[in-house]
Amino acid sequence: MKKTYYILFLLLSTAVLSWVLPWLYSLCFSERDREPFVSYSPINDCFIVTDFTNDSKAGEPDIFEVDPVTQTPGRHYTMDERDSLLPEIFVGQLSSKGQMPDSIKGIEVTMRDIRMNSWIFSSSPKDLNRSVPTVYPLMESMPARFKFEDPEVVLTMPGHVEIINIESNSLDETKTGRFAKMFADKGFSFPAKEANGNITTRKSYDNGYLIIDGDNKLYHLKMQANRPSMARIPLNDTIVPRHVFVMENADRLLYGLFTDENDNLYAINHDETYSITKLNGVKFNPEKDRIMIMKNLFSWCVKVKSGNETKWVALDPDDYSVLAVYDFSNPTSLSKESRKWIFPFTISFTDVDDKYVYPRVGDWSWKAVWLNIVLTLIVLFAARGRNIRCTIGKAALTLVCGLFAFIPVMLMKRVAN
Amino acid sequence: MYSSIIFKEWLKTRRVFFIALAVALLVAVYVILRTNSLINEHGIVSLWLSMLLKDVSYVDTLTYIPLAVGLALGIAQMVPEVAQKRLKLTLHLPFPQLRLVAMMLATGLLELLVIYLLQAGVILIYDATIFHSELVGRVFLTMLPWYLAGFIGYLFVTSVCLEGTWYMRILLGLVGVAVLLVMFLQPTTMAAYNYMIVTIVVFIALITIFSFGSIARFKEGHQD
Repeated sequence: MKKTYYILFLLLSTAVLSWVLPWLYSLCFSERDREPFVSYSPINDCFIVTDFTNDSKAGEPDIFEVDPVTQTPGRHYTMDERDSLLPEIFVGQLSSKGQMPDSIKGIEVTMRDIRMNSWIFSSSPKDLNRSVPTVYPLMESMPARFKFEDPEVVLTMPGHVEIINIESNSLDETKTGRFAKMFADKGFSFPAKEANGNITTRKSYDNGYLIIDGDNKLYHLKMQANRPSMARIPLNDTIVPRHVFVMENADRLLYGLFTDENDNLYAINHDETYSITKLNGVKFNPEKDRIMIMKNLFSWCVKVKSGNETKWVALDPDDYSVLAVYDFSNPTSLSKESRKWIFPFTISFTDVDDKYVYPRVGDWSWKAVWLNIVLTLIVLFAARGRNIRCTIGKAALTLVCGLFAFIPVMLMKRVAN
Repeated sequence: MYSSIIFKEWLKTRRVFFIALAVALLVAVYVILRTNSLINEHGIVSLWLSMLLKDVSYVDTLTYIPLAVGLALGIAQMVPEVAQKRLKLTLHLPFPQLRLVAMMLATGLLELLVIYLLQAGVILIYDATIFHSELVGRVFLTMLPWYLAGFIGYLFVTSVCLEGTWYMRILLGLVGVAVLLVMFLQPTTMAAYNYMIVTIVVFIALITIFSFGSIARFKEGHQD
């Protein structure tokens, strides 16, 4: 029993330190993410990069244009010049100085045009990698009064459709019957794999839910006048949808976006046929990557951050053809590099990309093997003349786990003998 | 002999057991009253939507209560053994020592289980009347790590109390604090520990060894 106790305590202490020490290290040497701000200019048809890493003078970031073909930096600009090159973003700044142009690219623009045709969409892995209830509030898309109201019913789709009345927490048999018939008529396969909607009363219109069914078919569902309105979105056989995102933008151009199993991103156009357009040059895995789309009258600027790499793609808003691409790689910081020489691996329980808590071993580094060898030699020296099997066990643990095992081994020296 | 040991443990812990049970139930009643008051103020729809869209569980008041109950019960059960030097006497009872310690731990764990079941039961039965069964399940999965933290806290307290040396007590205590920190990394996120529940249960079974180890060391004369 005593032997098991010591072994268990040693292993547990090692595991605890594998979590605590890297956490303390990152706490001591935390660093700011200095990713540049990149946007596509309709004035000179180039990406304008606002780089915060190489400040030219105190408080002033380095601003330069990037050649859309070669991706090489070109002319440098001041902040005022940058504002003029990105009028749809710095519209407030330019208007306050009376410098807002009347037309851009020969098109007359007003503040209202810019506001109505601009939107931002963003998605983070944390939004998807979490425990999500499969109970979906259903909004009335055609409210009797002008304003939207909070949903009165929820939809569940485990193996069949159920509409639950929230107030009474009981099955709404009338609505359930209507929805069940509609789902059956449209050939919906249960259970639903994913459904995405935007439940808020602060919007000008409601696009309901985009749903992926059990057979990877894509559906659009709304509740209008207490009755279901459902359409199957026609997809090419080669497209297997993985994640869907409903959109309710002021320009009413899209029902939403979806990704497929090959991480391609598609737009579902707001027309009667639910036509699909692939966003060229964009690869996006919502479970691992962050995306931000800044849309305006003249371009879509799509930013996809995947690990240390960030890619910006500018797309034509009419045919989604690629206008320009810019890649940025976040350099590994000195503190991140030096930790590889200290810690052979780390244990963490949380991650910025999800909302779960469970142990995950990662950041394996062979560079720490030298420190591990030195620590193992110290363990062997300190344990000379003692039980050989026990010493070999401690040395092996230190060789693999390095500092994480060394500390408890040395602390337990006076206890275990 | 079994019943005598259980009775001995019951005599030590009954006062704390009833206080802890009362506190746990009062907190459960408070949670229900608060939820009821929110329904009266904002309507049931608002609560459903907050739960579905904002990860609000309405049981966050009791986050640390199970841990506090576990620590209190562990202290009530084991401190008299150490402080009044009863442990030596207990270990000289004509009963196998491993089974003796197992009975002591089982009594404490059972008392905790009763308190936790009653508290969770009261809240979940109430929730079942106002929320969909899936949401009630999510509330249960949110509370479960807190109750498991209570068992972990209890087992670390018993092993620390039964340990004879301050040096090892401090080491055990530090590891225990670190383990308990893990149990509260995402206290406000619903069902965040879903992937870890089985691991935690296995872990709880494993750390009972610490109490047996502390007794083994005590018997060998590792005492300050």
